[in-house]
Amino acid sequence: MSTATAHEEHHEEHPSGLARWVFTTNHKDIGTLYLLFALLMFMVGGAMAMIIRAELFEPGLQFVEPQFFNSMTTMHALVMIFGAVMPAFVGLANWLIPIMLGAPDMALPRMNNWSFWILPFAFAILLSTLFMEGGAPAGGWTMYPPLVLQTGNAFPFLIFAVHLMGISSIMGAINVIVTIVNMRAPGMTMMKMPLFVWTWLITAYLLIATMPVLAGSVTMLLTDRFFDTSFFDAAGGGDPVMFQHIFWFFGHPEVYILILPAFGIVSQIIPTFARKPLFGYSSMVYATASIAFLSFIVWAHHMFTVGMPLTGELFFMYATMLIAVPTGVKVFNWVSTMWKGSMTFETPMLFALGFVIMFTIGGFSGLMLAIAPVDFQYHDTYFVVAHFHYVLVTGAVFAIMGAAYYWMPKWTGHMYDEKLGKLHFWLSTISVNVLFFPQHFLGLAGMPRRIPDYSTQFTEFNQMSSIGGFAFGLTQLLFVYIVFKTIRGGEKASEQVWEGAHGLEWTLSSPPPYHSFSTAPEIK
Amino acid sequence: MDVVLTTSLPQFQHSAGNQVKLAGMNDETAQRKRARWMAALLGLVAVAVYFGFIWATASGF
Repeated sequence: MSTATAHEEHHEEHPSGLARWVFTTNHKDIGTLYLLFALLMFMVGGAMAMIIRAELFEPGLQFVEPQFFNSMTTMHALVMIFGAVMPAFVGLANWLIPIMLGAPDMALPRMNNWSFWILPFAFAILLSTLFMEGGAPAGGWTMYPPLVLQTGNAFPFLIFAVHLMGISSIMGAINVIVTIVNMRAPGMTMMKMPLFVWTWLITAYLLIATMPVLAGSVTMLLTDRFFDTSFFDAAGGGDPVMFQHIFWFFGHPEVYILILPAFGIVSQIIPTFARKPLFGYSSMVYATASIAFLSFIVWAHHMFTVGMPLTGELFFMYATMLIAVPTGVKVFNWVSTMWKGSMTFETPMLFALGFVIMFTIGGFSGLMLAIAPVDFQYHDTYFVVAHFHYVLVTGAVFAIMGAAYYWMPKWTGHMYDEKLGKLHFWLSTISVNVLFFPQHFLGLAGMPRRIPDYSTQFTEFNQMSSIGGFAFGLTQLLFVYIVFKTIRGGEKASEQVWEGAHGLEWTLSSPPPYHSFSTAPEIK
Repeated sequence: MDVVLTTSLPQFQHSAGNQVKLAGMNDETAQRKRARWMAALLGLVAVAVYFGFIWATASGF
């Protein structure tokens, strides 16, 4: 048992109305803005997914033109990755990192405001391309040349939007790092930090190392299109495959940017509801760092079919498989934390358990894809689509939803409706598996991804998948209802909220004062 | 308001150095000044990576 003393000053006075949100430098307000923006983008990206699944309900062309279908797959990915999942994690970081570390705010509050307010403009620009001559970008979120260079008027807008998203992410990442390194309360040493903070610290380094790579690659696409350079144009001495290497040097760490904070969330939730300390805290930290390091040396597993020397294929195959080791450490530690714990199954715990089981399914299909000779069969099929949706939906999105239920009482001061939360979990879990599990079979049978039409033998599994998709989409409207119902009112939440929760954030009132930890608590 | 925090957060217990105050940690101005310098350096790293990759691609690495 250890004690810490905090001197709390409650300055509740703050601007109100629109000005509060536009000019805010308060980490809680900015966190709320990020989370609401992510929810909005989740709905926009989800609507695009509904169009995709409606078109794929039957073979043949039903509702949309093939070009528009390809725009939907491209925009769905960009919106969900850069508009929903990443901002949701940044929102959680803003809300939680300062109150977990005993800091009064993020280290650079004005830059924090900028980081957020760039995003709505970036996505307004990106979504405006849907109404442009030539349509929205349709060459896939990977933006491979030469295909992407055929994009119509939307092309420079796509490139500008990606740059803005990158700038926003880098500024957010810098803020996270300098806050964690400089703003910890006295006595809060690195190895005492909650695991969510650790995973975000490592994620922030990944962001700074990789987002400029993406920005550089799309800048070169821009100059190839408009300024007569030939970075990726074979006719001018360039190499289109080089783009793929550069893109995936960004793209694979990006996958871990999308999942490491989820690991942190689950590592906060499971000990609370197992009523046991997290098993293997330091091994969790080292496993996270190992995953981050390995993420930089596996990028070409996305390119096995492009062609590379056998030694290259072997290296990338084995390096990819190596990631299973630290990931396995994490899964082992989560299970060991639950072992002989006094477990209860409130909604956040259900989402965390769903994460552990279903993310592991995604991990296993990832191992299958890592096997270079077998990948030649799976590449560019629905097996890949099933794999990354298990990782990103039942992984990242489930963790975010678990986090929302776990900390919503702290943020709003109200308990959410537990019955509705559990209903949301079970409907989501059933429908998401109906949606994505059949896609493994479609991929193994050879159905290619990113096509609006398919052979008739794929009909049944596609119909099953679409029904699951519509059900999952509708279920998320329930989540929106629960969130706004909790914001508006409900049973009053206590400071502690959860009996088994530990950490500085639970010592604050629910909701916390507008300015918290104005005087740093001392952790002894 | 004084708040006494009582916690059994497991990671609060096992570090031998957990009694040590970190340098400058109770001076918010110093913290933010150091944070600004660090942010500038990290920003420079990001800019260097950006131009470094463009330069490396242009030079055909």
